[in-house]
Amino acid sequence: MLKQLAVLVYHIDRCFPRTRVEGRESEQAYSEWEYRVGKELLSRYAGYFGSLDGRRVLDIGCGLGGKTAVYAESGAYVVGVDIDRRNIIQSISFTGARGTPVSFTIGDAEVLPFADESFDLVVANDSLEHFAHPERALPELARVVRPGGNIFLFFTPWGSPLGSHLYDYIRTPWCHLIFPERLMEAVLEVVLQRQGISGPGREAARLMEDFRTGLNRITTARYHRILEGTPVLETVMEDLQPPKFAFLKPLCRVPLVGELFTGTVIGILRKSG
Amino acid sequence: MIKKELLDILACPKCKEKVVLNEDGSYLVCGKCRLRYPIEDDIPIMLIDRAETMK
Repeated sequence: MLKQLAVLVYHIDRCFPRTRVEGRESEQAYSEWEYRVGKELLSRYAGYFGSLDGRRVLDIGCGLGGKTAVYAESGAYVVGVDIDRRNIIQSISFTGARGTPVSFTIGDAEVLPFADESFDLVVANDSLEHFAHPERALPELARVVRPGGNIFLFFTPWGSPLGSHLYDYIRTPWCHLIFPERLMEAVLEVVLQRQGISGPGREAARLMEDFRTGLNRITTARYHRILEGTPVLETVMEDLQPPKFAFLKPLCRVPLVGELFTGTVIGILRKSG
Repeated sequence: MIKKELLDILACPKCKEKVVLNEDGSYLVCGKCRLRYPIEDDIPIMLIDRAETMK
């Protein structure tokens, strides 16, 4: 019964356009995609925190190192931190091949291995939604920034149409809010089977495990509550962006409903003092 | 080799006290917590649950 339903959902799911996210073919391609995105974001938002030349920057949840390289090539001394060893290995390989000097360590955003006020800028790009407890992580990021320094956040909130982070497989927007988890897993299995992946059931279970454990389900409202509880941080700039259709932007600010239309939260914070 | 800039700011994730390199450069040591954090392939692994307790 579940299997038949999953096949039906699969056929409806294929009516939606494919979300085009580049750089998913290989780790190297992903690093390069991060690099392009990082460059664009930095040029768009650097005005809020100034030149990175000679600054000390922490890239927390540095992923595969593409964005980390951008900050370092802007003249900053950058430390990239990720909890996943495989990410750090690829980050070292990517920045090493470019000849970009960066330091990397394996660490946890909630218990950072740095002295107080070690950095001028902390960047958490595509990582706040993955920290196990963002309520602990954000004050910890604040601790390692010097007074007057900045935190630059960029994340996909839970209510986003792409909040599941499973868009490489399931195209239905808000699939994680519409489908029960058992159905999501069954649909994933159908998708993987049709892609010719061996052991689709096992792979679907793995993806669902990542979905359950790798996302903290942070909403824009919860992010705002964390900020209220961290008075040392003031918001310099906040932008809520819809994922595809820019004309939906005003809806992002509507309470509750706005959660469903916000694809990205961009926050630039300043530590007082 | 761990850069000096990094060593200057690295701290024990548990107590936030400064950590120091051991003699052969294979661990970062927190004297206060009596914990040592392994360095593997030049990557400091600064996770509390990966730290080893020193006698």
